[in-house]
Amino acid sequence: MTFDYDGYAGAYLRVDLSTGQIQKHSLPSEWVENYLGGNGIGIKILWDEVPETANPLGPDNKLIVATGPLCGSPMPNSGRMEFIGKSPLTGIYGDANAGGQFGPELKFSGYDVIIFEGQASEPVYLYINNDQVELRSARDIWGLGTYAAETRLQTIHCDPALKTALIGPAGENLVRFAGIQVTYRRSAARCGLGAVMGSKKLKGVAVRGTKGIHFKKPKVLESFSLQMHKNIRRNEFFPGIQKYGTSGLVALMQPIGRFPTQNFRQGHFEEYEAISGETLREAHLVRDIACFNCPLGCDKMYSVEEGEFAGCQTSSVEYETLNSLGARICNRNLEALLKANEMCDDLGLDSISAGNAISFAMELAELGIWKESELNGLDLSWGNYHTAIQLLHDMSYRQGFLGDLLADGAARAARWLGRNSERYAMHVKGQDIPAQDGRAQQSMGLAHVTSSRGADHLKAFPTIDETGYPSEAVRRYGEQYLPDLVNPLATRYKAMLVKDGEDFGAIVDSSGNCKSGGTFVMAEIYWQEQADAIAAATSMDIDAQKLRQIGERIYNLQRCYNALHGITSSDDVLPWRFTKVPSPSGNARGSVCHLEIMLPEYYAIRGWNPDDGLPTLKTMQRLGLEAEYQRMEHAIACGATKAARMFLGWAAPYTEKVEEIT
Amino acid sequence: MTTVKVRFFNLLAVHAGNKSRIFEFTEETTVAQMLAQMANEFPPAFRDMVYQQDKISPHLRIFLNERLLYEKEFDTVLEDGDSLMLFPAIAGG
Repeated sequence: MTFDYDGYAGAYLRVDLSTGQIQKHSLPSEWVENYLGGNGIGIKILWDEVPETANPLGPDNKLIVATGPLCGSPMPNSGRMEFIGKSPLTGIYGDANAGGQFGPELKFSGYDVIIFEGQASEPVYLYINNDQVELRSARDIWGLGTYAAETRLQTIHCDPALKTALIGPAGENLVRFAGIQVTYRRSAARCGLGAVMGSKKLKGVAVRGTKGIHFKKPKVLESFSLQMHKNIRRNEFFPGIQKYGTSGLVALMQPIGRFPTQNFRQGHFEEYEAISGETLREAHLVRDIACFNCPLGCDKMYSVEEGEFAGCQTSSVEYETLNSLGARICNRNLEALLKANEMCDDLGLDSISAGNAISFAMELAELGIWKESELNGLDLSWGNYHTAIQLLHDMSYRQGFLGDLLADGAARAARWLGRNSERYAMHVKGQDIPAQDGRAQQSMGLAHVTSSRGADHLKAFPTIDETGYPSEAVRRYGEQYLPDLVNPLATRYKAMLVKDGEDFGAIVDSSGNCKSGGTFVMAEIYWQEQADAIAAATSMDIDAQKLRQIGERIYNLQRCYNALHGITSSDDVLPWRFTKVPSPSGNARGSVCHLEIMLPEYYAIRGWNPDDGLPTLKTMQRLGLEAEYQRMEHAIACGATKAARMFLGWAAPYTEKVEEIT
Repeated sequence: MTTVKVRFFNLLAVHAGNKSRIFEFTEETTVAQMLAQMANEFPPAFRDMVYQQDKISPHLRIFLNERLLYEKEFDTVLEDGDSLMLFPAIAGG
């Protein structure tokens, strides 16, 4: 079988870790025609090959490493790639995206996709050097942190340009929110796919590629890409984001009331200036760094020169981490926060879920829910960063009662613990809620519940109503939706915004470019531009309309995959704090998230059944997914989805009002 | 006398040369008038971020006492003790 399109490497690897067999295949044309790449191909493989009965940490789960047609291309910010698998944290569809250099290098080696299946009996890593593809023993690097393991592999292979995707001790010890760290120090953090690697005894992938990628119309693509680079550099958002990266958002979120503090009890952090992007840059910047082909360079390297945490060197200190290991646990010590960030990257932890597990534990301590004997002498007072740092270590190694319990994530810990602790696990579908309070931005509340990987801001990534940018809204949607579309507290048109963001986001995540660099933030690239770039790169018969349909197909299939696991509209809920307790501060003061208004509208726009929130036959037929619909219906009818649901493992979000401590 | 505290963030603080500043007025002053005064006083780079083609930039975010102001509210008269926060275009998560 041959592959018909340019712009792709044109081949994929299937690696059976149980037998050690490695197969090379041509990329099936129907995969890219219907699902494009990245998480589109990922959900297609998951749907076809990983049944609802598969244990996320068992041999039947698969880990899919996937690039897309724009990954490694001249288009700006084209270093993104995806890991896809069934999530050990949520039990449903999971994916994690990373920038850096790994994705393009994989394509340059001649492969668009790798499928890992089975389980190795001894630790291994996959070594790829163009046509040379081998499983090698990872016995010498098992147990190492990601920094040391990466250096060790580069030394072993005498190749400082080797690019790696590695897990740390957290993944090895099956921490359910373990991430995957890719060169250079970028995290594919969410959904616990590092634990999937750990369960397969797969320490990582080391890749070196020197082949080129053949583009159909290289001059057209180059000229178009150059224009996009220029547009992004001229974009009004460019200077501020280039200077501070996402850390610059810390200050902005205070007056909006969208900076979760004390396990989401507050919407702003009194001491935010101690951990703001401005303070971070002034006090700790070493240099700006950038992912593959990125004109922005929102990443930064930071160091701590003095004090208790002297010697710490870390990068990608994102807004999310400044919240999750800062305000959310009431930690105002920036140096401790940098140390915690360094540890998360080295141990291989998702800093969002790690912080959420710690803030959950701290709130339970305040409420007296823990027994003294369970704490192993830890002081879980709010703001105790020594405890937070100890817990990052303990969770990664599953040490002690608390470390082992929290390593399963707040939602599972709550189910195991009981004692009304589920009231304080802030999650949707088992996924910890990021630092985006839906009370202060209605679209974000909706985005959390409709996201296919559980609570998430990045699936829909509704940025234009964060603080309201009319010119961006007019450019994309037209003037008729103003002012409500850009009012963060208005519910009108937010279903449309979220649905469009999810579909376009599915395309961006399947193409290999970046949501923070030109597609959502600095919104220069939208359906038409993305279609033009893909057409020039691949020779596919693609236009904006066809691309929209692919985006919709991907998102609907992700929803159906979750439906196989018993997910329905009854899971599209936020914890009580977001719907029952008015936001206590800032622009959002007095506001709650109105899912009851937005969600029915969202189901209607999507063509989903208003009762169970699942795609209708008509919708699935329109997307060419009739067979998939039949499988979903059959699984529901025969009770397979109910059975699968029993294994999800998390306590459902608590939705009834609870009196807050004042 | 009306005293207003203004806080600058991100590149606005860089261009203003300060993170915050206290302004005092003896006459009635609106938010728009205050921006004009700052634009005259601070270096041109500050003005370039606050104005676009002589109009207040649609990308400037202004919070008055932690409430987001929309364009139609830029003629709000400032009161003694008011607090303003100014942000350039930033977004994301």
